Amino acid sequence: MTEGLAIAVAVLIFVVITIAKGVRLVAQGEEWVVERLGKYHATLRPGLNILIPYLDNVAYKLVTKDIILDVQEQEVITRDNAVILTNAIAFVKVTDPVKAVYGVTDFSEAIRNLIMTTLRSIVGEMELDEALSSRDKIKARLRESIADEAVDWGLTVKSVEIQDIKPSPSMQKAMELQAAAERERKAAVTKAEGAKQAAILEAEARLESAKRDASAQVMLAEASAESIRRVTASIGEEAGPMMYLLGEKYIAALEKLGESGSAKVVVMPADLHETLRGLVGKLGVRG
Amino acid sequence: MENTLIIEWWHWEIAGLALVLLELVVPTFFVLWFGFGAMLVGLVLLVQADLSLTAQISTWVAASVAMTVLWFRVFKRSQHKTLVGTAGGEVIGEVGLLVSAVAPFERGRVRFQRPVLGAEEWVCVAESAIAAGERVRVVSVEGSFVKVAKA
Repeated sequence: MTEGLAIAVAVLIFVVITIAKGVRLVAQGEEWVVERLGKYHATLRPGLNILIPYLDNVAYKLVTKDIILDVQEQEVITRDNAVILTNAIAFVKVTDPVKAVYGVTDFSEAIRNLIMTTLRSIVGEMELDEALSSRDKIKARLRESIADEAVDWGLTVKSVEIQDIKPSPSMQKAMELQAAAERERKAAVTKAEGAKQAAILEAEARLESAKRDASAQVMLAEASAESIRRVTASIGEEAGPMMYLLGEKYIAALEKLGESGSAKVVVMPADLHETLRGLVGKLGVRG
Repeated sequence: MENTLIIEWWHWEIAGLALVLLELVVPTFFVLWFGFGAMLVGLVLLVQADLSLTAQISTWVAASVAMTVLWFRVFKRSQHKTLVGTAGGEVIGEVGLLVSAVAPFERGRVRFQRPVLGAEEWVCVAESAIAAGERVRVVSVEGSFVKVAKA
């Protein structure tokens, strides 16, 4: 009876292991590659799958969702010898599980390295400023360049995004210095231009004021000429009013002279009439 | 003979339930049938109490295998409800418009109504020449190329 029990237990274990090896549940988003006696046999789709126990072997389990590949930061030298740091992120999908496992040893590593080298060559053909400003162009070219290799590996590169693209620290410093120098140059030019403008304006002001002064003097002269003319016209041939005017002015001048603090002695001509006559005579009165 | 190891009918029932519950934790889809098998043996034992342990285990194995086999007879590869996340499954069968002609050794371009695998326009290859403007169906995805056939 114990023999029978031992056999029953052995059969039980055998049955359990056999069924365990034969029944496979594949989760959604995964695909399994099955080898039969070392050769590729089938790809298991999501759901319940039955294998032949002991002959079939699940060799690879693949994720068929989009794979996020982080392409590490690397130094790239542009055509104008500037060093920039760049990293990218790629979304890759396994579209042929068989090629993905048998076409290359590690497809994630392979595609990551391919993106790194391709990115280097694309940026290497660009000038620094161009590389910094044309991410979309880099993206499009990157996708194009990877296409041919991806065929053999059963992968589809859905999109490649450049995450960061920045100059190296020393380059950044140099660029900042350049920008600062440019600003300083602009500031100096603006200042000089201001000074020039100010000088011109000042000179113009002087010129203008001189012109005005000159015309004022002319006007003054004309006015006095006019007044003399009028006085002459009104006086006519008589000497009396002229004598009166002169006498008045003469006395006013003498008064002023007397008011002055320093002058103590005022010599007055005795004959005012004659003195004035003399003055007029010396001036050359028209007669 | 079985005085050292006395197994009551309810032992089988509990063991069976435990196995069924185990299926929740480890989804393998065969432990379940062993659980049901164990519960069946428990019922048999309830009816016929003097069954030997060997007979019990044999019944269990036989019942479990029978149920597993029966299940797979009934089980048909169910239709996949969604193809999201499967390799190429979402794309194959998609109909697009050929914008530049394709021939066996000449690559064409095909445009889809909505972006397919991250792009609206794809470089395509085909087994036979198809003129531009024709409607085409995706047969397979080859890296960054799609293989098309007349729709």
